[in-house]
Amino acid sequence: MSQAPRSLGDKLQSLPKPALYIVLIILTSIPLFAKVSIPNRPAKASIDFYNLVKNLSADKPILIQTDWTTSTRGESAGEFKSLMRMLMHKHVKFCIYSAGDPQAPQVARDYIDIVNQERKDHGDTPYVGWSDYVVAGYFPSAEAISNSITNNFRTAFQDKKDKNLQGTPTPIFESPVLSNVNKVSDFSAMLIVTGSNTSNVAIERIKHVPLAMMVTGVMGPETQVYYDSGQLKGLVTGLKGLYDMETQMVKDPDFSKEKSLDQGAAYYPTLHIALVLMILAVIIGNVGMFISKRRAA
Amino acid sequence: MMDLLAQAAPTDNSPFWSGANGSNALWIGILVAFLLGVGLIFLLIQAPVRARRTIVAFFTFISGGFYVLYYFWPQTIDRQKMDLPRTPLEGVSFWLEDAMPVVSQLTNILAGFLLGLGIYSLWRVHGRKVIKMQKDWIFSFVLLASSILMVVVGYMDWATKQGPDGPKLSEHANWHTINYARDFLFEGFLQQMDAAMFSIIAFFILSAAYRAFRIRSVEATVLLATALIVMLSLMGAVTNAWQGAINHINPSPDAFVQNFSLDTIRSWLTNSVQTPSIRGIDFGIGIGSLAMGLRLWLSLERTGS
Amino acid sequence: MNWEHYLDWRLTCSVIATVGLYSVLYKENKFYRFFEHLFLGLAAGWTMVTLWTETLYDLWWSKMMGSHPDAVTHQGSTLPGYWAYMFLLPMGLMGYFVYSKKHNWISRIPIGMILGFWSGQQVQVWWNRYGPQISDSMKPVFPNTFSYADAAGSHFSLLTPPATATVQPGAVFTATAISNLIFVLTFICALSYFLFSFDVKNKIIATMSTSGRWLLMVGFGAIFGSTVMMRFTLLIDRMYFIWIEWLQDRMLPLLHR
Repeated sequence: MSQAPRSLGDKLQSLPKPALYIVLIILTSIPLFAKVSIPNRPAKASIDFYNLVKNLSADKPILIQTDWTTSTRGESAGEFKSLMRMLMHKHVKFCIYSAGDPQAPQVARDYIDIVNQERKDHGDTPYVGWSDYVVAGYFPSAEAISNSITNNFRTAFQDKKDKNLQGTPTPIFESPVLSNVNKVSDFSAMLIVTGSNTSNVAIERIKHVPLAMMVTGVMGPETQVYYDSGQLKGLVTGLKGLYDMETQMVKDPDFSKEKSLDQGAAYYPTLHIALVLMILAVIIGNVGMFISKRRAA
Repeated sequence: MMDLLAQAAPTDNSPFWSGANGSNALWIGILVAFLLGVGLIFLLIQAPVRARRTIVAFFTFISGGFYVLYYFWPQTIDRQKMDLPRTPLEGVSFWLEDAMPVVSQLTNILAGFLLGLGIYSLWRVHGRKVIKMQKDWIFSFVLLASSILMVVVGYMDWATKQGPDGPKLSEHANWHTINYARDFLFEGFLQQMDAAMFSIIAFFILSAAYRAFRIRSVEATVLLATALIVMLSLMGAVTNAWQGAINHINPSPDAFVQNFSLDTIRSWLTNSVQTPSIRGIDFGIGIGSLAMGLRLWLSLERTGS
Repeated sequence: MNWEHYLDWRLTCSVIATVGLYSVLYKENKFYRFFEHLFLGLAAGWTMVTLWTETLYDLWWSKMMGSHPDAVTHQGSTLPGYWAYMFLLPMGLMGYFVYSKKHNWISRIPIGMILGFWSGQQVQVWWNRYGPQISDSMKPVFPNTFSYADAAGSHFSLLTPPATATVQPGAVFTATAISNLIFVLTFICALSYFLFSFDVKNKIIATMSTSGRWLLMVGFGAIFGSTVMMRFTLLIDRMYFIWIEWLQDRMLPLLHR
């Protein structure tokens, strides 16, 4: 018994998966070779984050919690590099730690080296570990360390060591970065760059210091709620947020020497193509469904 | 005793609890503590079945009770470094404040030891497959071999970076073979494969959205419409083109038609509908967490025997 | 070792590993399984390394052993060791009794302690997290002004305000009030959807619950849109790595050399 010929609606609803995958690979590859500038209107949350970092003073250090690794490199690496460029340009010292992933401190060090190399390339003094920044390492319990930071920062980090200028592991409070820090309010801000929900843990437990975040797209809507209620002073979400930061830096004469357009500008045009493909795929599926329904009726 | 638990910094007043680095007194203390800990485990092994739940509940209650007490007990106000408590109530406040970082350290250390449980489990399962040469044991061998290699190489790389020659290793020219090996395994394989694993989901999202996203109900239509507005507003080219069309009608920033720009629609949707709906979900989760927290603290959850 | 040659090899191996993992998109195969197990093994091994180097060494071992200045460089400080930290090792090892058929209850002691610490904190963290959101959700839903005002107290129409007009502090215009009303109604409807403990017979609450379900879809739609952006960005990053960082920047110059 021969099968009934498939209708247009059925065909539209059952395009083969390999074809979709190949189309996606092609459409996310070809635009990467074209350098296209896309006009941008930064979101208010990104503007607030940018202004918070821009107005930081070099007198007080900041605390950075970095919980991202290469698994979210597409968004988090660009966010982290943008942040490092701004902080290094303004000579703001910082202390980095991680509460989300054991790989995160090493990843942070690697990307600080990348931004340092940019500074050397355009004739600026690179940031020196120990004098300008310290990496406090990884804490396996985000809840415990966030509580400790709020209650007694000195004791929370007292056992952490980083290599001093001679290469000897030394308690980080002997570093010029933290020598005047006794409690968390001695930091001018706490910034969190994360690809996971360690952002929620920080919001629940960190007090007495302005908090701002750079999160991935997945965490965006959930974290937006805290920005709307004023618990966060700024929020950068995903690739769009990263591009907001880069476009603001490009227009800012203060950062004219820095490499402002980087990962965000490279990926953003391709994101357009990918999102159009997603929208088209959904439309084609629904058109197929309506055609099939009408035919059945 | 109270001083021991509250002490975070070394002092000369606690010779019983401390010893100089490498001294016999310290090693003896460490050995005694280890033997006492092992002795505790043996005692627990001998514990009657009826007492097991009580013992676990006791440890859970004491652990949680510290934070509950810390939250409800009056906290110190403007405490200075050399201040002493004036009343027993203040004494407890001082002790709680001093003990907080110690308890947090304890949590971090315990969590660190327990993290190894997952790794041990992985090694155990795959080790058994290799030893018994079960189906696809060669892949389990690959897992074990790469894991052991990473531990050896990672630790040796860390060890070379401690000490006076460490800063020199920030220059590639000074790297030894072990540093190259760590970089190759970590940067060359682990990091890139981590990113690749996460990116595979993009294919599945596209395929799933194409096959399953159908306008069959009010809910699906609302979801699809919102997703469409969000995705369009993420595209700078689209928002600018839309804004250009709006400006073509009336370029004045106070014109009524400006309310229909994509940015304005998106931000209104975010502020007036998306935020309260996600907040509602959050509150539901929050109340559930609070209830679950209380049940766990009081050991009201009945788990397996 | 020449760094550039080393990078060529490293990046090439990375691309092979990436393609190996992507081969699962066609179908499950041994090439994919090899790289999958390699990835898991490396991740497990690295976790063990960082567990010691980033956590236990500083927080536990150094505290227990103390330190003294290096004999050659005289760097470092003299700190005593606290032997009581050794108690934590048997406590942590209790967790491994989960593999014992007879004594696996002992593993619940350290796990119970961690859960106890977590649950004890919920009392405090609940208010830190939700308190500001509760107060932010109390929005004014009635307008209290229908015009702009300037410093002299003159009032201007909303439709044609002059350049000198300003918004009075605490002013709630009609449009703001309507938006706030929609906010509050959405919030209440979304909360009413989660009333599972009893049968909802009242028509008004049932309607609110149904509306809440629809309004929750707005939140889910936003989450979907953001998730799509993130996942596609990760894929674009991988394509950038393969085509630009490896092929264009590394391999093509190599062929031309």
